[in-house]
Amino acid sequence: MRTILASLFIVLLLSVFNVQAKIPAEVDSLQTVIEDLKAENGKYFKRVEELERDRVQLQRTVVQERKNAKYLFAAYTIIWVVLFGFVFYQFSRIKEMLNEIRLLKDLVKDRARNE
Amino acid sequence: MSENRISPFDWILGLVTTTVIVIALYMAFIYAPTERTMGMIQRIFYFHVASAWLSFFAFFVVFVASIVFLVKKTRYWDIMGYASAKIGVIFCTLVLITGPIWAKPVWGIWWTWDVRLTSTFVLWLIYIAYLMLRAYLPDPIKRGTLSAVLGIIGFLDVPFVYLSIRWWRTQHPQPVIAGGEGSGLAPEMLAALLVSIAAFTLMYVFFMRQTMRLEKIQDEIDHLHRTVHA
Repeated sequence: MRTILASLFIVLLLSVFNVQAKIPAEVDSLQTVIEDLKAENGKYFKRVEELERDRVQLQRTVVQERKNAKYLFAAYTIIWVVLFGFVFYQFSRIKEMLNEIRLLKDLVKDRARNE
Repeated sequence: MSENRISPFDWILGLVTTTVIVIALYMAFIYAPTERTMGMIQRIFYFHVASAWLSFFAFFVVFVASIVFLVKKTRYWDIMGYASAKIGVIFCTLVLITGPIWAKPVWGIWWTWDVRLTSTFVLWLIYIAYLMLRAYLPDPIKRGTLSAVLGIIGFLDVPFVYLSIRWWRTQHPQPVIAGGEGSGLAPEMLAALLVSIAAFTLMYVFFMRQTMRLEKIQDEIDHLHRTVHA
């Protein structure tokens, strides 16, 4: 019985020593994992920061573009209003003048007939 | 009375012009890429530059027609100079309107008295004076001669406007075409610009024909008035 107890005690002692020997190695590896995760986290953090910066920049561009769209619209509207206005004026003036010619010709004919 | 109806040629010209305008608009808004720094507002460029080119071209026609008129003294060249000046003023007005609209969001100001802008404004004033002079002179020979002289002298401002951005550092951008090292346009942008210029040139020809037709009709009216009042 004593022998059995002694052997059990020795086994217990040996396993405790064994565990204690393993712990530092596991702690080290866990430490490495933590460091790796921290580094990876830093990378993601940086990427998130970059994306956030891009988002703000993009938002600013969109706001700017929306503001500029008014100017672009105004410029093109003025161009086409002026050009079509000119064409319209030309044709309406030609129409008016052709009517005037017709009236004047009638007047000349009437005068010639009366004479 | 050949001037009474729009000729088939004018119909075809009008149709071709409209088609090219639609293509130019497509190229300016869809085909050409968005400029990196200025963004969408840069798309004013295609029609702003085309208007400027057309005003220069129109004033060149005034210059040539004025010289020929002074030599030959024929009404045809007088009409041609007048019609071209009228159209040139319209395109120059467009340049002076679209320029500040483009400048405001990019420079933060509507106008600055730099050489390019000021000389363009002076050019516009010269040809406004040309049109006013014609409106105030009743005698056709005197009107034709004096306006031809102004048309020739006024044209001297055109090369000055064109070269001003090469001679001085101006707020107005440096030339992008034939502007030397570092200048240039993306091929798609250049194509869009050339199509816009082609569209405006066709429009100029169409306007010229109609304006000259109008002047010929006016001559006929004047002749009939003289007959009636004789």
